[in-house]
This record gives sequence, C-alpha cells and structure tokens, in this order.
Amino acid sequence: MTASGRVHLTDSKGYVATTSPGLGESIGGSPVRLSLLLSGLYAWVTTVGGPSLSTPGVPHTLSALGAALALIVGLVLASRSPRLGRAVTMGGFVGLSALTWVLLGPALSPAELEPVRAALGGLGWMLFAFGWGVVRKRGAIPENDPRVIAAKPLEPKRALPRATYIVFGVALVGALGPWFFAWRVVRAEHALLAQAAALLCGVAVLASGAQVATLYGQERIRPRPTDRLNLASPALAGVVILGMIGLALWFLRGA
Amino acid sequence: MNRAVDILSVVMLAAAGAAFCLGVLALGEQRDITALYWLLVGGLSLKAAVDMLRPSRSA
Repeated sequence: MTASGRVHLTDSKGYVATTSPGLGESIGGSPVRLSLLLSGLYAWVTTVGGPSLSTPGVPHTLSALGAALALIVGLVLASRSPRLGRAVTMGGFVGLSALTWVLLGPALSPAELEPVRAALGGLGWMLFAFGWGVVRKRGAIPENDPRVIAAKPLEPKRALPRATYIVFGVALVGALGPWFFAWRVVRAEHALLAQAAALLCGVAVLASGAQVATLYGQERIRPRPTDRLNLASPALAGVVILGMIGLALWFLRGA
Repeated sequence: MNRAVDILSVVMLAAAGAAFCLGVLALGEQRDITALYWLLVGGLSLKAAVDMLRPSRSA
C-alpha cells in the first residue's frame, strides 16, 4: 500500500492492478468505529493514561489527556470527514501518546514497567492498528471498482496435482538417502567430509525436487519438447559421457 | 511428447538421488575417485532434471 492509500496487486508476471479505497470506505459503516474506539482507549489506559496519571507532573498528564481527547474527537470527525478524522486521530492521539512517553522519561524505563501490562498494552496498539482495516463486503469484486486500473486478472489458487506430491516424495527420498548412508562412513577423517557432502547433496536434491514438483505437468508455460531437451542437452550429454566412461571401466576391470 | 520429457525429468531426479547415495557409500568404502565420479553424475543429473522443466522465457 502506498502513502496515498492506493493498493497495488501484482501477479507473478508483473501485471499490476491498483485500487485506491476512499477514506470514507475504510472508516465507513457505523458513525463511530467501535472497534477503533475500544482498542484505542484500551491502549491508552494501559500504556499512556496509567503511567501518566500515576506519575506526578503536569506536562505529561496534559499530553495524555489530550491524546485521549484527540482519539474521541478524531473518530467522531471521521464519520463526517474521514480524511480530517484520520489526521486528528493519527496526529493527535498517536502523536500525543508518543509525546507523553517522551515526557515521562525515566518512569518508563524497563525496570519500572510491569511486563504483563506492557504486553497487553502492545496488544491494544496492535488491535488499534488492525481496526483501521476493513473487510471486503460479501460479493464485492475489487475489479469492479471504478478506480481500478485494468490489468490481466490474477490466477485463482488451485490444489496441486497428485503428481506433484509423488515427485516431491521422490525428491525427499533422494535427499534423505545420502544423509542416511553418510552415517555408515567409519573412517574418522572422512566421516565429517561425508556428512558435509551428504548435507550438500540432500539440500540440492530437495531444492531441485521442489522445483521439478511444482513445474511438473504445467503445459502452459512450457517450450516445445525438443527445445526442452535442447536446453538440458549439455547436462544430459555429460551424464551420457560419464555413464559410458563408467561402463568402459567396469568392463575393463571385469576382464 | 511433453509428458515423456516430464517423466524423463523425474527419472533424472531419482537418478541424481541414487548417484549421490552411491557417491557417499563409495566415500565410506575408501574409493575416493569413485565417490567423486558418482557425485559428478548426480550433479549433472540434477541439472538436467531442472533444465528440462524450466519455463520458457516468453511465458
């Protein structure tokens, strides 16, 4: 999300759809968002009001009371003028809360804080932050918004084909095999090397196996079969050459 | 034909796993050159398996 409130939805190919929900929509609904009011007041009581009112001094008390007032005024204003309401809440409530903490100074040192209350206060601020969000209405389609910038639609999620699990199973067995056999190396000077080699092989097989498993059977993004074989031809040629060398040596030793 | 290349790719993946197993086994049996041989075969098989399934650049 950008500073202007626009939301960019980007798919795997870089196509972008942008929506910019109006502030009225994010605040809208009831005249005053009860979730914001309650979570804000809870955060204020536990982290601003409590420490401030229990510590003697005028500046931080005034700042704390100003923060609470800004929260209520901001949320009431938000029902009529969302932009102004949000500005008052963010600038007034959050800003004055931060100022109160600065003015409290040593009273908020970790030694003075009660851990449970601090954690609950953090939870309150988190709820307050989440309270600004809005759940999409049932049946609403974001692409139907008049402010949306047309782009290719995103592909829906779908279940993986069964073959993916089989291929990944093959990769998993292939990755665990070297690791298992590495424990059979009894030479002390080579045991560590075997473990390191097995780990490297296992990671390589697992990473490549995951790639093969997810790409398996996806016809849409494939080049032609001959191109695919051409792409793999250097590695395939290497395997064939090594195989022939291995066979030749095996026959020579047997002879 | 595409399906055959897919299957070949999975076979290469399985071959890579088996080659790595043989390599580590050879290392334990003090046959260092054989171990290197199998590890090289495994690495190349793995690369071939992935290269065969690589998506086209235009997609």
